[in-house]
Amino acid sequence: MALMPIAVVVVGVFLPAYPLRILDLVLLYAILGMGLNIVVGYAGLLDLGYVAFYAIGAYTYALLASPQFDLHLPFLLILAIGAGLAALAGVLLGIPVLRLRGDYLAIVTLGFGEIIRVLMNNLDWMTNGPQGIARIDEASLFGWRVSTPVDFLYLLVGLAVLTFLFVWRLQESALGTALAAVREDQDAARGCGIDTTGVKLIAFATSATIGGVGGVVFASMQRFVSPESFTFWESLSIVLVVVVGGLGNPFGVMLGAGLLVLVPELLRAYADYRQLLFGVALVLVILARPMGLIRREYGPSWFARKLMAR
Amino acid sequence: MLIFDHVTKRFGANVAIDDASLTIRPGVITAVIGPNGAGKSTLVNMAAGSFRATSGRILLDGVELQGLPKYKIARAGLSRTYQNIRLFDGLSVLQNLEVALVPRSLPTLIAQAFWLGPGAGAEVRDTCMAVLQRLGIAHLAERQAGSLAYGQQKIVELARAVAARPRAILLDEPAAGLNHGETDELKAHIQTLRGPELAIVLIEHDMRLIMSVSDDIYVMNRGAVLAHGNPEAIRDNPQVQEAYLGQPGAMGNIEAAARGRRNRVRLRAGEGLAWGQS
Amino acid sequence: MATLVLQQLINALTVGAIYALIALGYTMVYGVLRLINFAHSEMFTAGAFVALFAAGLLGGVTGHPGVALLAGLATFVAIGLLGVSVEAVAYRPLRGTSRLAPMLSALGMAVVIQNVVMLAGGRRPLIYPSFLPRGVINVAGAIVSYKQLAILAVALVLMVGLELLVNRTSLGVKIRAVAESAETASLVGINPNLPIALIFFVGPGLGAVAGILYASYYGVATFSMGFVIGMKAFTAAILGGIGSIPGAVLGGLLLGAIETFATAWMPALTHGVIGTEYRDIFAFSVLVLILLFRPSGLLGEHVSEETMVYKRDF
Repeated sequence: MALMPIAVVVVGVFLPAYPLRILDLVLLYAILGMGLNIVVGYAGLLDLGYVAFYAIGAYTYALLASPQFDLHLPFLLILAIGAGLAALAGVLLGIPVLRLRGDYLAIVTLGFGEIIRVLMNNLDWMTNGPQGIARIDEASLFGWRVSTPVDFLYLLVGLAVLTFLFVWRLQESALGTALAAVREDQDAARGCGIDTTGVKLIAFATSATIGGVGGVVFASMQRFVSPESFTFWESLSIVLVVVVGGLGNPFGVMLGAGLLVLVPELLRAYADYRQLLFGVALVLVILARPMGLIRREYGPSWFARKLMAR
Repeated sequence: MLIFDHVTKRFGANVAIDDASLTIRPGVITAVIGPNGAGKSTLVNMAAGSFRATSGRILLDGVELQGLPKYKIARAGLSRTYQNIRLFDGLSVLQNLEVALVPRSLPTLIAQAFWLGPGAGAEVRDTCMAVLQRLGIAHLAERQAGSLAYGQQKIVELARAVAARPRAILLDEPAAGLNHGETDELKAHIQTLRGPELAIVLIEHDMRLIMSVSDDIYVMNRGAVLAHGNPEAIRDNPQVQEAYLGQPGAMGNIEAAARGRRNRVRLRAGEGLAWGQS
Repeated sequence: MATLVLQQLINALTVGAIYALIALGYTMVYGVLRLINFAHSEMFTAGAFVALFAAGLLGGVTGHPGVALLAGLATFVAIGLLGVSVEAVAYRPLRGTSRLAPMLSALGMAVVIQNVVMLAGGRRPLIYPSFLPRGVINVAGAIVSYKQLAILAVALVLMVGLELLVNRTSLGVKIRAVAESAETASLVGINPNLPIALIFFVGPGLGAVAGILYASYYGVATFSMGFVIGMKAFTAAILGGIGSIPGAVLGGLLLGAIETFATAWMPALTHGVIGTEYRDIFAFSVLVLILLFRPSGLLGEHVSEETMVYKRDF
């Protein structure tokens, strides 16, 4: 398993610029998908506004490291700030909703995603409105300038590995057990002494944090942000990454990220039909394989056991 | 000790529980019986926190349970089983039990998820396996709970309720839907739960089971406690015969059951083995 | 001042009636299946476009009352049938599984319908020929258009019709029985599929008519207009008490009022800090406030968790 990221790096380094950019995008979506998976796959809650946290991260970087306010804070500091702000937003949004039934979360997060976008569009003094913020600083980590697609490949592979290890540990820890109980039968979970609102809030905030980190990296990669990148469609794409690949399974999420980024690239000629095909795919996957292409059981722990057994 | 102290519950104009006072002592099995609509389930659901009593107190070892959210009631030491089984179907049997032992403090949960603090994994696992062993279903540990037979699921639910080491346990019609053989197995398991610290409440319709397993019986009718006493006293109580059993013929069944109890107690040691083989 | 308030009240009522018509579809489906039917907002959009197509077949004069009526009826039936098929294909096979699955399926159907509308009707906003009568009258200084009166009349007729259907017919009894408990209903011999199909006929039908009214009122239609309207209508359903038919009507009218008055007065009250561009945010604020303080809505019964929570909450 440890060989996979190395393989990705080795292959990536020799790729021409265009496919390399796509590989970077796959990794970014895999990170976002693993984050969203905590809420959708582990806790069984539908979050349709994940892009809001992503946007918070992206705009944090754009505002704190660009000529917009002539602030140029270091990348790592902004990464922490962006993650923190996204987590805070997750908690504030989660408090009214998470003590209620799960499906209200879907509609409230859907609304929240829209609100964030409307705010970005209209708070001109801060965000420049629809024009967005350009000329964002180059990222740098301890003196390492992260600017070319290869640099981002290293950064993203590193982040993806960290995220993967974290969500694996989370799933296997007592928190993961508690979330699984919430997913299966919330009321019985309460009867077993689980503070369901509390654990859902942790899941929601953690997921938001990863979204925020993804957003910061995205902004440093594009070096330009505008509200257009954060539509509902983006949220839905990340949900698709999780659902198509495999609910509750980080391997599935990686596969999902690959498919969701690559297939549209291959179907460029039919761009008009892209969303239609996504919609049809979503319905078909749900009807035929409700748990996604890779089932929950065949996750990292199963894989680790297989390796040990050999 | 679980105490219902002058508890009344009204649903609109409907009086579901009418000034009921019950004391469930640790170390004994207390059955609550009564015809449908007598208020037995309302009592259980109220204690477990599904809704509040209109008046009166419900105390577990001196702690008022009224008004606490469900999970805090569970943490105070009250666990329960459900009339229609509510297992976590998608999880393994072992995981079902582990849920009951999830650390209570959110910071601890976070710390464990972040690799800080000790992961209590192995210890929890051992505790759960011990419980499964005791109930004779250790071989089912890795099976998916939803895929088990009905009778097995009932035992898993019992195991989950016990795993958290509760101070009181509410068994809501555990024998419902079980055949004779399975009921006998269940009885053996209920007997093994008996311990000096644990108060056991058994809500049941199966008179055979009640008369053979319980030490103390409350008879409810229309929300009120009609009678209270040991099985023999309840059997001989004319009020109970009239109000609850209706016709004199039903009495014979109870007597037969009470007689059967003595026989079965002797058989008990052998009974626990058959579980899980169906 | 009084005239201004009266004017806004009429505007609010018009918008509110449209929200209410859509909210009915959400609330009925939710009441029976506990499903947020994300595809419902697209029934609204599809309705507006199908009516235009139907009017084209009828000679194209949308302003003619006969054409308007026939096109409206045809749209109701067509979108109603679409609703029934969506239920049969995408929701019914998932009944009784986790609650996440039908919601995702509904989301997928929403995307599908929206894109079909886009491919058929184009990406760009369409100038929508009104199906409603033209002209205005003056009521105590406020200007009331015939459009508004027609919208209110159509909404009223449909709501009364729905009320009669649900409370005065045997089919309505079945709907209510299934909403109460599908399990109990099937025990007394009610096949839940028929009432559910009926709900998926009527709800989208009403939504489609709302689409025609909305597009006629504002004079434009876009393939993506259902998204925001749908969210507002769902908010209206929660505001009124989800599962409650009178609640959906009340919620729709109230939300229309809140939005209209907030949009009119907020810029002045906040010295322009909060402008009309935040119109869409008011509905969302209402939603969060309701969930915080009265999750059962205005007319919804307070359901205890015991009856509300299903085996899998999700």
